[in-house]
Amino acid sequence: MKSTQTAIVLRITFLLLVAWPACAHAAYKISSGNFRREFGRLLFDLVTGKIDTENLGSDAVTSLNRMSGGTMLFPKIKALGAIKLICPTIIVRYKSGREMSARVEYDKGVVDWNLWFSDKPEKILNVFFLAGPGGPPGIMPYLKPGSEILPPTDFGCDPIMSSVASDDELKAACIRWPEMC
Amino acid sequence: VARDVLMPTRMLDRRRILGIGLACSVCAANGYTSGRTLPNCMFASNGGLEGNDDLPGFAAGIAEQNFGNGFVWVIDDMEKLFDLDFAIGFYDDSPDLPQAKARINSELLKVNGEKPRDGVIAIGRHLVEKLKSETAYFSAALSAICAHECGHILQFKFAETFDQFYKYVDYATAAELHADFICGYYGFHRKQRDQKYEAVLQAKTLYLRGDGEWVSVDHGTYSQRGSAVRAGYLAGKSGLSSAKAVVDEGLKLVSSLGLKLQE
Repeated sequence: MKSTQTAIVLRITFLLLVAWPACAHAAYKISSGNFRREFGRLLFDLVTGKIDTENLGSDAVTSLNRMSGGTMLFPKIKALGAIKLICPTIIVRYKSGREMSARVEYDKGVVDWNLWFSDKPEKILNVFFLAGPGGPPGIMPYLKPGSEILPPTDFGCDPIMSSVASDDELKAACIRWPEMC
Repeated sequence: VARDVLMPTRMLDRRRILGIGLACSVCAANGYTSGRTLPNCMFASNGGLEGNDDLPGFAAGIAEQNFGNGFVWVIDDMEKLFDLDFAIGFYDDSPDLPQAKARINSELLKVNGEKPRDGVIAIGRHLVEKLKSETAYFSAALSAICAHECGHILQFKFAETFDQFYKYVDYATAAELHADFICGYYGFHRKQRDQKYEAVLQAKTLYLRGDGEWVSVDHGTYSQRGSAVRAGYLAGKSGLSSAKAVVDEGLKLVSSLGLKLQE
């Protein structure tokens, strides 16, 4: 019972993290900020028509214009409802920046997103999405020679999946194999 | 796992690559290509590559489990560390005996349709659920299983290793504890790259799979398994620098266990 309550609290916290900052417009700090919060904010602004172009590169603006038929509105994504989960499928570093694929689960569907962004200056260079029925991620980074897959190394995207060991579990293991702690 | 590793693998009756075809056509439509440098585990291919009786429901790729970037990174890290090229995916293991398997000479392909150079790792879907129920820190538990199976793939790669195992009456146990040693070695490597990583839980994961809890697996006792992982971890600390050196060091561990020799 307690774990169910914890799970609900964590889910609500996650949703708040994604939705709340949408009130405050500012550049999207995908690279330096909390990735899920900042990306969630970008997604939220896209469907509410309040996209902030401050740190969007010209290619990103062009792409969004093209994908929205010049309106910068995305009713089909809006129709999918609230975001339930943001799961980075893979993050790759190139010489000039990073590319990330992420699967976003909404109430009524799934969309695969690709973002290209630079660290300095922190800028979203391009963005692309593909609404899919599920199954394999529809879009992926192209790994050029010299590129590198980046952490996070935590498994699982659901916020209720812990990324740290419990104190008790760790303590018991460290008593048995102290050299590994 | 021991018997599976040491028995010849049955060939696939047929393959279907519909999943790959679907994934790649979507990529191509958007100007992407899978390319030869993609990690083996990147795509899910549900309904794509089909297992056989031995690995029922096998599907190459890891995205079906929604583990995200972390698992892609870890598998890529293992392949680079040990210079391995293997296919990886999930299959329908028995709920009564959740397990993972390593295979050589398999017809199962990687998600990009290529034949893996060094073998196949298949992780049971029931095993995944079992691991999740055992620990809050699933990352270390699944890493332990994958690193242990990497150990078997390394044994295939350096085939002379098996001559050493066959010296023992319990040759399967020798092979399993050797793979546990390699699991521990990976734990140390991972800890170097990610200081927050709790490698000690790799020892716990394999300790829990010592003979006694499971039937007919010949993996070594609880204590032997935990100790083998620990020994591999400490070997990593001592600065081994190649996959072959790790394999050889693991053989030294096996020879120190006092396993009964064949007559």
